[in-house]
Amino acid sequence: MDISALLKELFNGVFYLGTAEGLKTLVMFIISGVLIYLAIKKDYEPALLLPIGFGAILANLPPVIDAVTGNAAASVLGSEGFLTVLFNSGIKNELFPILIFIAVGAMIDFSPLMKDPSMIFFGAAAQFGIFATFLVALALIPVVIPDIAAMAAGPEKDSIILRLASAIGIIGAADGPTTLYVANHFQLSAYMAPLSVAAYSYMSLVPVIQPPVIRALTTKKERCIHMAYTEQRAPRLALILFPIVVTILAGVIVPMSAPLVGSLMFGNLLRECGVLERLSKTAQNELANLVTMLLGLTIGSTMIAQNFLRWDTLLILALGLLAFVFDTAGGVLFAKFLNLFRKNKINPMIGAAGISAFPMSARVIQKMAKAEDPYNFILMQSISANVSGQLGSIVAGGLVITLIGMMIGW
Amino acid sequence: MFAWLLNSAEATVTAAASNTYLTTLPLFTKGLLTTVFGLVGVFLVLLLFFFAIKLMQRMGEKQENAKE
Repeated sequence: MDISALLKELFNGVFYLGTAEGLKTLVMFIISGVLIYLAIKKDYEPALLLPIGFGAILANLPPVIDAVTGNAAASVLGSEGFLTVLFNSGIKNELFPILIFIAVGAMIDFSPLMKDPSMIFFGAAAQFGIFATFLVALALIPVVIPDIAAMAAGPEKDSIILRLASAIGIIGAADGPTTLYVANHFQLSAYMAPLSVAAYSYMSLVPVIQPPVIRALTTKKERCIHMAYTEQRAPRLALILFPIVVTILAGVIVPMSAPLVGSLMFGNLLRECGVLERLSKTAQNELANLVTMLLGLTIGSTMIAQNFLRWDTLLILALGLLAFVFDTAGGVLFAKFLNLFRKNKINPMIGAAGISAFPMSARVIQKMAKAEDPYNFILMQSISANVSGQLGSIVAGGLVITLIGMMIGW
Repeated sequence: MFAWLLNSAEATVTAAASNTYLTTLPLFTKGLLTTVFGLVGVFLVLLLFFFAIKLMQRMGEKQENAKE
């Protein structure tokens, strides 16, 4: 082997950056840098965006030849690369979303919802965006995504369009784990990167996306509406029964939602039972932190240049944003509709908290209310709507899986 | 018992037939059906949760009053 060949072999990675594929890698490094910047400088869900950004850097490092498969891939993504192992054992088998839901369940206090159960309907109204975006996606996917546009008309084509459109719609619920769950169930591994990145980035961009939509749909007078709230906690028996009853009801009526509802409610039972404080704290802290970190890294690892720098990604990101806007609007408009019949008016901003981004959405609503009127305190009502959104998005996810399954004969 | 078995077999055949019918519908009709049933389904399930919460509230309050 002459010296130049030896150098080329040795510095293969450097030469790679000069190729067309290498330029795509550089673009991915810039995108990763933006995610890391948003995490550190803007503090947008740093626990998620930073691992996603770093995972994307790792996944786009110059490829090496895999000793087992003979394919070229970044060393972390080879058949035995640690990110492949994490993907197979955490995302492919739906384990990470389930573990995240145990942690989230342990963090949620359903007491405000138990005090005012009527707030639960905001968790349903805010799912409007899922279905509205689903319909828009049905119209756009066959035209915009080249691979699908090239397919011959028939059940196969309908199937991929319906599956992809439903997973895109779920992004609107601001529910990362449910998006992953639906995408995985529908075997959308080719679209996993943009779907998960859209779901998790929009979750972290709640403070940016929701306020302008809410302001556009409400008057200052409406945003200043005060709502009464009593501090008293719900009865302990009710708080203990709630996760058990909801699991049974959801499991019987929408069996496909059982893994997510069950894990969310198991986490909540740990919290409310009063005899497993250590487990509850572990779920809220160690489990949540560890799984979030691994989930972020693994999602980032799906952002490989050749899978990510495509028109589908732009379409999915745009539709995901639309879904988020529709969900926010659906909740606000539902509250305004209810106000037509109610004597005690609801602050319509609360409707926007009916999405799944907990507790960020509730906090954003309270911050907006305080900005309009420093003495307006609607945090508890927003939290009630927000936890309902968590339930609503899981139920919607389960229903979408069931209905689409029927439509495509799965 | 046999009648029940026959009925359940009939129900399975009917369900399978309706599933086959659904798969033949045009794409947008499938989308509209999913949207309508999905949205109504979410509201109905959460309505059920609403009643369950009301019931649990009552049970909890009764228990607390009994303690007092």
